Amino acid sequence: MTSTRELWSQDIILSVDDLSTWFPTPFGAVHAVDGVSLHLASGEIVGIVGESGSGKSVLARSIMKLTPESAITRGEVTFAGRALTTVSPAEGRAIWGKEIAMIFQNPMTSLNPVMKIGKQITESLKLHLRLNTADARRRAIELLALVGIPEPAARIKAYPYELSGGMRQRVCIAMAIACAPRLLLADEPTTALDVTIQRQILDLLADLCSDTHMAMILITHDLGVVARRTDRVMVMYGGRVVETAPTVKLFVRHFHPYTAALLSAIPRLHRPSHTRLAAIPGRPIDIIDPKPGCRFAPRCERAQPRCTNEDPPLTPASDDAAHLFACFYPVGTSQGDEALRANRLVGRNAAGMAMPVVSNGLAEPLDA
Amino acid sequence: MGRYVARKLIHMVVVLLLVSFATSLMLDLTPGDPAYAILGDQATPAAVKSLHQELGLDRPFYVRYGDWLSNLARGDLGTSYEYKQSVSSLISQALPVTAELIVLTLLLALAIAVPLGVYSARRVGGIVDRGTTFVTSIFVSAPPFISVPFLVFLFVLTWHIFPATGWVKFGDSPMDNLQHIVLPVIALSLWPVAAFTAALRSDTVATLQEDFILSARAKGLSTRSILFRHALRPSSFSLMTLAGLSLGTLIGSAVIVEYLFALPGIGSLIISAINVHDIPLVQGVVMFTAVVYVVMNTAVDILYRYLDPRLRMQKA
Repeated sequence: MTSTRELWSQDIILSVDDLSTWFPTPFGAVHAVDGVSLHLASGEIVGIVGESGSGKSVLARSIMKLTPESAITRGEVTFAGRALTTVSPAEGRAIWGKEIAMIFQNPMTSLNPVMKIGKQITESLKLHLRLNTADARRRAIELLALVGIPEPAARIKAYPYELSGGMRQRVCIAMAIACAPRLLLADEPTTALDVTIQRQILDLLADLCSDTHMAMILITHDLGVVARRTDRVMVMYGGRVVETAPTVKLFVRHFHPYTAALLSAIPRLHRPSHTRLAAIPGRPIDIIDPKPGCRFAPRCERAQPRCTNEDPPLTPASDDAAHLFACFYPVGTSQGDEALRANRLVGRNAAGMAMPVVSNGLAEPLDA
Repeated sequence: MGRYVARKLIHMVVVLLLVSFATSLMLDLTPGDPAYAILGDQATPAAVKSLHQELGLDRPFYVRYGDWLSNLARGDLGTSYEYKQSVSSLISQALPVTAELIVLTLLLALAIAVPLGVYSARRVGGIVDRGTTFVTSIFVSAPPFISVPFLVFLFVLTWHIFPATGWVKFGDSPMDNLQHIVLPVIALSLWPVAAFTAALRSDTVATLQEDFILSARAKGLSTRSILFRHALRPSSFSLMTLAGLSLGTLIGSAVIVEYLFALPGIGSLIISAINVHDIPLVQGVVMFTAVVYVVMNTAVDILYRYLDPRLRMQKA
């Protein structure tokens, strides 16, 4: 896999280095994104996975500079050689929508309700590609056909309320890919849709990437969504990357207890019916003025005293430079198993979370 | 849509009947006798009696009201006691003055309020927002009878920019006409500027929180086109309602402004008519004003359907 990484590095389109975004509030600063780095080659699809509040949407919005004005962002974002963190608003407008586009979670509210969908597509064609009205209209019809909207020439005059949710998300995709961007940020593009539509939309996005060599960041809380459609997965928790690896490898082997917990939370068909769904105990942490220490420690069955006062660095696996994780007691290692056994014997972890007591400490490890 | 229009029309007729009945009743209950206003205080009882018979004032109230209605149905608003002209011709002479005043006022108010409201909403609590709130709260607390003397003091007496009173028809001399209308328009537009700005600001603040504004920003659109192309139209419902309803308020304020600047408009006409108990003229002007008001409200209802295409689907 090292060779693949080298191949990518020749064609890196997006570099995010040590990006942090926080929101000052009366209760303290909310560190939504905390030192995240990410490198994306053209044509590559990276999945960012995490619970609500893990910072994945804020990360995407920080890249797009779409965060509220109160937000403070530090770190470097470089797109095709240009530093996005320092671009002027005017330079930025030549990049957003043209080179980097974004699809949002809720297609029901992401389209302007009082504007015909044709106009919403043609406005970026006219702005960025300087097409005239007739050409922009022709191109908009092509785009609607491309994303699978029947009778595109008639639908161009439709208002968003006349379309179903799936159709609206297709319109949003058509809007996003209108100017053939080199990078697409898809922020939970299927979360608001029916399961049957989800698959169509995800397949459409994957096809667009392979046809146009467009890179994509696919943000989701559902590991099942990223499984077959991404090249690499980045798992986020509490604003930090806790594990990242090529997708095929992550589903075979993972080190971070949070990744393990997410994977075991996917319902599996091969399990007997009425099997209890595995849930992660506790709730996502508040990241107001965080202290040092692993963000996941309060919910982790392996947490040791060290986890509660020291930040685990993101380090590569001993045998795989492409597989990075941030954990002192990783899953599938002897120190990790020992930590889990010790906690099970006393019935609590170092952060004080209660756990079922197991007399010999050798219960089934977390299902993976 | 046909049923919708029909229902609206019936509604309008009922409102207008109520307005005309209430006006007639109030005129009847008002102390004072038009006969004395016409003949003078020294009129003999016999002369008053014969004038009452001539004008039909000796008949009971409901007969006079019915008579007036049936004339109205034939398009006849009667003849003014004071001017000895038909009420409709008096209204049509005064109307251009008031119409120019109100149309210019609405245009000026919108031209100021739209950018002000939208830009205040862009940064809530910012300099534009706070400055706007400060200035418009002064405007809203200065009714014409306070603002007019102030304006006259500054622009007429101190700087000698505009004439104090009087009127020149637009057709006679467009420049003079505009000179005479500037101060009345300013005086009349202070309140609508403040009200329109506040309404548009609060709607725009809400619109700017919407997801589709985020997707417009993600398209790389400029702030200006996001504000005016994406945010303005879905934010203008309160503004449109207010602009339609403010027409009634404006006609009311125009009465005072026209009187203070001696403009020969509808306002001056109705004041002189009330002073001399010119019953047909008062009834006619009130009726005319009510028609304008009701028609404007219906027009606003129809404009909603333009602003929000979703409403076009609903059955009224």
